[in-house]
Amino acid sequence: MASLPTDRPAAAAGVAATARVARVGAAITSSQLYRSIFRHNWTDSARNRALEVTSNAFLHLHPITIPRHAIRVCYTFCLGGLTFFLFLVETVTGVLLMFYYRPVPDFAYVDMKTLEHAVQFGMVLRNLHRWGAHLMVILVMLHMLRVFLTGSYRPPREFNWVVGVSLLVLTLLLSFTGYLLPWDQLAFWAVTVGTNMAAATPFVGAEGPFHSLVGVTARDDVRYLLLGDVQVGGNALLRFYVLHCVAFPLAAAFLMLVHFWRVRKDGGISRPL
Amino acid sequence: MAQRLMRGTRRMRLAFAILSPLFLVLCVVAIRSEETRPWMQYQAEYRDLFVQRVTAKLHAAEAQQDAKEVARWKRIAEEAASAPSEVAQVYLADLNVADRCMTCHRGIENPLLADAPQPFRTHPGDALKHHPASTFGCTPCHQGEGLATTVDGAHRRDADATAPLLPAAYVQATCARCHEVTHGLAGAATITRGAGLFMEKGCYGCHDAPGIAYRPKFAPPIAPLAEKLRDLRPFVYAWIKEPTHVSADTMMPNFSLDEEAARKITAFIASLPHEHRCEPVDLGNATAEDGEHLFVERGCAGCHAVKVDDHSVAPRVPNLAGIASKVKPEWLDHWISDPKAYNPDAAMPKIELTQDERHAVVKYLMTLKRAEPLPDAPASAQGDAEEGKQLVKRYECFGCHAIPGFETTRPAVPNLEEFARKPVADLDFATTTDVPRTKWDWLDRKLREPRAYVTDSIKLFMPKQGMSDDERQALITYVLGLERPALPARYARPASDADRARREAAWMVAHFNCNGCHRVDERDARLAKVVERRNMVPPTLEGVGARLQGQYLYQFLREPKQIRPWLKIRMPLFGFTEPQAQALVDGLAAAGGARNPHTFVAKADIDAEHFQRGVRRFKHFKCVQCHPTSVDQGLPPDVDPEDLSINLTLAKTRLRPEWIRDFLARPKQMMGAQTRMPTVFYTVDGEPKVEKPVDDIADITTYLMGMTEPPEVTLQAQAEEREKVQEKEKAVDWSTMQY
Amino acid sequence: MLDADHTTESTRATAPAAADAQWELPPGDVVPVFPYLVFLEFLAALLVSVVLLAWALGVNAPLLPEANPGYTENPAKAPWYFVGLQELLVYFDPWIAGVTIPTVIILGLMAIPYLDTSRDAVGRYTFSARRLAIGHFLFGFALWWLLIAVGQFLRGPNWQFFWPWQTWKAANGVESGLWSFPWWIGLPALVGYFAGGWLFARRRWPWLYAGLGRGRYAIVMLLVLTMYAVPLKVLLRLVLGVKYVLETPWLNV
Repeated sequence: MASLPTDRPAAAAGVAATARVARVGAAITSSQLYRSIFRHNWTDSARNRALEVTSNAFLHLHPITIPRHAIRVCYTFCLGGLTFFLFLVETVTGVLLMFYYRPVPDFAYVDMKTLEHAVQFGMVLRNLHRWGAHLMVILVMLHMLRVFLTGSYRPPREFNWVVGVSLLVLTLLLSFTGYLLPWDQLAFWAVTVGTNMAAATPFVGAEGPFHSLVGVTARDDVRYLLLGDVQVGGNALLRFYVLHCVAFPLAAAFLMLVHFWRVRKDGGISRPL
Repeated sequence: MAQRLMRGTRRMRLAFAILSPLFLVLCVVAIRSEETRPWMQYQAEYRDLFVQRVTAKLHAAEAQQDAKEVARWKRIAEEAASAPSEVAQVYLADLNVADRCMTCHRGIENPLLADAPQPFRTHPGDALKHHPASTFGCTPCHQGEGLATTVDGAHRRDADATAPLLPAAYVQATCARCHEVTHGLAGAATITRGAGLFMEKGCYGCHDAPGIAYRPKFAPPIAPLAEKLRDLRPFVYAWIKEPTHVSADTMMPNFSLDEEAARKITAFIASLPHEHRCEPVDLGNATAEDGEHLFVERGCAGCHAVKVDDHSVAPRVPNLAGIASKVKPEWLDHWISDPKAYNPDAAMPKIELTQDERHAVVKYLMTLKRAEPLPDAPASAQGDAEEGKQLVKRYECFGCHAIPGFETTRPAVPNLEEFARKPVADLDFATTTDVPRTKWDWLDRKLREPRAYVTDSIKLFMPKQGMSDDERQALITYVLGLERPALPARYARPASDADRARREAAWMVAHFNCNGCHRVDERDARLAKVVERRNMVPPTLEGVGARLQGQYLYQFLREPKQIRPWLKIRMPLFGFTEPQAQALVDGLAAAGGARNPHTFVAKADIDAEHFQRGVRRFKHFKCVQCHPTSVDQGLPPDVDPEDLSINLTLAKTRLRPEWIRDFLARPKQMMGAQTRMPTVFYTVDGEPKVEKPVDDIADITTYLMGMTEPPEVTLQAQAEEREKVQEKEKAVDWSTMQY
Repeated sequence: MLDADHTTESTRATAPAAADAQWELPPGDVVPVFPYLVFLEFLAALLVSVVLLAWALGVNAPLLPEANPGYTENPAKAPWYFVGLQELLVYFDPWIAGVTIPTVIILGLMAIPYLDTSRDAVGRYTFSARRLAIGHFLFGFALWWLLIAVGQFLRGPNWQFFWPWQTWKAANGVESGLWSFPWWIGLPALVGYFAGGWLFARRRWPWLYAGLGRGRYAIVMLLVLTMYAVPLKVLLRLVLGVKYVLETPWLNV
C-alpha cells in the first residue's frame, strides 16, 4: 500500500518534516476509506476536471463542458442556480426554525417572540429565512425574465418553461403560506386579504360570480378548502404550516428535479442552437 | 489549457479573496451579537451591584462581630457572584403570559436594592406582597411585551404598539382589570380618585361608564331660569360664553362659543316656557345681621362661600358672592324652603328654618351684590331661538341640564369603554405633532384642549373643564382602566355588595358635600374654617361606619334628630331614598371595616353579674359627670351645654359595643390627644392604670348596652369635674372628634 | 491490496499519465465545467450568502402585535408579490383581479413556448430580432412591478392613494361620481376593442398572422389585448371615473 503513487509533489529533500507530512498525506489519500469516497486524484488534468463533475453526486447534473459564452456572468447572472441555492438556504433555516415553532394560535406568536428574544441565533435565523424568501421570489422572477429575453423557452425547451412557470407559482405559494406562520397582525390580515380573493373565484367561491349556479356557500367553497374555516384561524394556521413545510417543498423539489434534468436533456444550458 | 486550471482564473480568485473574508466577518459579527445581548450586560451590572451591596452588609456584620450574620452574608455573596446568566421567565398558562422582565429587572424582589438605579431597583410599595410576580407576572399590570428581552421591545416603544408599557403615573389603570371596584384598595388611590372625579366633574352627564346607572342631572334645570334670574339674557349670555368670568370656580365647562352661538343659545333659553311657582315675598322686618348669623349658625356657610376670593366646599356649590345680582329674592326664598321642589335633582338639603329665619337669610343674601354688573347681551335676531335649539342639540347641553324638548335624549358621545379598547393607531391625532403617540398623551391633550384634534372635516364639541394636573392624571387612569380584557376566573375580584355600597357612599359623600360640615378623608370640614369655636362643628365622618350601629345611622339619615344639645346646627334633610340611605350606611360601614346589619345585644346575652359590676364601675369612674342622660327637663343655669358630652342612654341603640371597648381602652389613640375623654384604664403607652382594665371595660360596655333606665345624675360632682377639665382643655377641636 | 475493480474511475486513477494524455475536450468553443462554471456558481452563492447575511444582521424581520381577528389592520396589505393584484381590486371586481387575472397570467406564461415556436434567436439577448415579443413581455413585466410599487408604497388606510411625503391621516374623501357604461355601449366597446386589436395587428404586422396561423394568432391577440385592457381600464377609471365597462346581472367587467 505504501508504494502507491501519490499526486503530491515530492517533498524537498532534506526537509524531514515536510516529508513526514507528505507521507501522512499519502497514507490518507491512499487509504481505502478515502478512496471509497473520492474516486480520483487531484492532478490538474483535463481528465480529472471531467471526473470532478461526473463522479460527484452534487455536480453530476452538470455536463463536463459548456459553451464558452454560457459562463459569462452577464448572460445568466446565475439566476436559476441562485434560486436553487436560496431554496437550500430556506430549507436549512426552515428546518431549524421548525424546532422552535408550534403551529397553534396559542403558541405561534409566543414562539416567534421567544425565537427573537430567547433563542440563540433565533433572530438571525428568522431574518435569513424571511429575507431569503423575498430574495428568492425576486430572483425567480428575474430568472424568468432572463429566460424569456434570451428566447430560451423556444423549442425544444417548451416543456421546461412550463415546469419553470409552475416552479414560479410554487415559490409564490411557499412564500405566501409561510407568511401566515408568525401569526401577527401583518400575517393575519395579509393572508385574510389573499384568501378573500379565493372566495371571489367564479363558480367555486362563495362570493364569486355564478356561485349560486353551483350552490357553494362560505362553508363549502374554495376558500373554506384553503382555510379549513370561514376565516383565518387555527385550522388555517395548521394547513398553511403543513403546506409550507411539507407539501410545497416536496412538490418544488420534485419539479426542480424535472427542471434540471430537462435543462440537460433539452440541449444543455441555454445557447444558440 | 494552462496547467493550473483547477485553481480557477485570476478574477475568480480575486472574488473569492474578497468574498470569503467578508463572509467570515459577518459570521463573527453574528456570533458576537449573540454573546453581547443587552440583557446579558444588564445582568453583569446587576451582579456587580448586588455583590457590592452584600459586601457592605458583610463588612457591617464583621464590624459587629456577629458570626452568624457574617456567615449568612458570605453565603449570599457567593451565591450572588456565581449566579448564572440566564433569561428569567414567569409563565402563566391561563393568561398565555410569559414575562421575561426580570431578566433585566433582577432586583425587584431584592430589598437590598431599594435605592438602586433602574432597571435593578426593588419594586416600590407592597404591591408584590399581594401580587407575587410568580403568580401575576409583570405585564398583566404594567402592560408591555413580556416576551421581549430588549429595552425597546419589552417596553413597546414603537408608535403603533398595542398595550405599550404604562407609565407609572397611569399604572393603576390595570387594577380595574381584576378589581371591579377599587374603592378602599390599598395602592389604588389614583384610579379610585379618577372614578370619583368622573362623577364629581360631571363627565357622567354625557359619557356612560360601567357601574353607573341613573344619576341625577349634574346641573340645574334650564326651563325655569326666567323665574330664578333677575335679568336672564345678560346672565345666560355671559355664563355660557365664559363661565369662569361670571363665577371663578364654576363647574360649568367652557364650550368656546363664539358670540353668534352664545347669542342664539341665549335666545333659545329665553324663549323656553316655564311654570310659575314663586310667589312674591315680603321680607318684612327681617334683618341682614340675623341672616348672616343664621347663615353660619345653621351651617349654610359649611358649603357656600360668600366672598369672591373664597371657595365653596366643592366647585359645584355656588359661591354666593354676587347672588343678589343674579337671582330674585322670591325665588331664593322658594328655593331655600325646599330645594327639591324647584329641582328634583338638587343636592342642596332642606334646612330646618322658620319663615322668619328664612327671610332673614334671604335678606342677608340680598346684600351680596356683584361688584360690576354683567354687560348686556347682544340683541337677538329673528330665528335665533330656533337656531339656538339646534346648537343646544349639537353641544348636547341636555347631558347635564334638564331642557324641555330633550327629556329623553342621551348625548351621542364616544363610549369610553370602546375608547379604552381602541389601539393607539385608531386614535385621531389630527394635525398635532407634539403629542406623543400614546393613548394617555392623547387623553392628556384632549382634557387640556378638548378641541386640539379638530380638523377641517372633523368638528369636536367637548367643552373644556378646568382641572389640576393630578386630577387629570386620575381621570386618565380611570378611563384607561375601562379596558377590561377577559381574564381567567381566578384573577377576577368581583365587587361585593359592600364594595358597591362603598363606591356609592363615596359618590354620595362627594355629591351631597358632606365635607361642608363633617371632616372627611383627612379633609377638615369647611365649616371649621368659618365658625369661631371649632367645637361647634359636627363630628367627623372618619370611621363613622365602625362607630355607629347601622340601624341607628340609617334612621338618623332618613330622619335626623338632636344628639348634641350644644349644637345649633342640625343635620339637614337630604331626602335620601331608602336605597340611598342603605348604600350610605353600608358604604360607611365597609369603609370603617365594619359590617351591617349589626347584631342587637339582646337581654339574654347580658350576664346579670357583669351588668351589675358594670353599673358599679360606671359610678365609680363618674362617667355621668360629663355624659348627661337627659336634657329634656332643661339644664341647670350654670351648665353650658357645650361642655357636655354625649347622652349615654343613647349608646345602647347608637354605638357599636366593639367600638365602645376600643374607645374606652385607647381614647387618645382613637380620637387624637385633644379628646376630653380621660384615659381611665390604660396610660397612653398602654400600661394598665387600674387593676383589671379588661374586665372593667367589658363590664361597662355590658352595662351601656344593657342599660334600661338612665343612671343617677349627680350634677354637683359633674360640675366639679367639669371645672377641672375646662381648665385644662379650653380649645378642643370637636370637628376631629369621634364622639 | 487494490480496490481496482470497483469502478472504472478508480481503475483509471491508477494509470494517470497515459489516460490524461488521451483524454481531450470535445470539439467546439467549449470550456470545462470544472472549474469555470462550478467555481462561478460557488462564488455566486458566496456573494448571495454575504448579501443575505448582511441583510439578516442589519434588518430585523417585522413582527407586529399578535393576530387579532377583532381588529383590522388598516391598510391590510397582501404580501408584496401579491400587492399588484390587490391594487387591481381598486379597478376590478375581486373575481377578475384576484382570480381571473392571475390565472390568465399563469396560463398565458405557460402558453408562450407553444405560441412562439420559432427556433431563431435562442440563447442570446436580442431585441431587434424579437421586437414585438420582448416589447410586450417587458410591458407586462413592468406593469406587474409598477402595480406592486403603487400598492406597496403609495397606498394608505382604506387603500387611499398617498404620495410618500403625505401623511396618512389626511383622510381623502371617498371616490364618488363613478359611473358605468350602459350595456349598449359597453358590449360593443368590449367587442370592438378585441376585434379592432385583432384586425389592427393583422394589418400592421401581416407577417405575424402569416407566421402564427389563425389559431395561434387568435390566442396571442386575446392574451396581449387582455394584458393591455388592464392599464386601459385603469386609465378609464382614473381619467373618466368609469366603474364598469360592461354591467350585466351576472358579472361586471
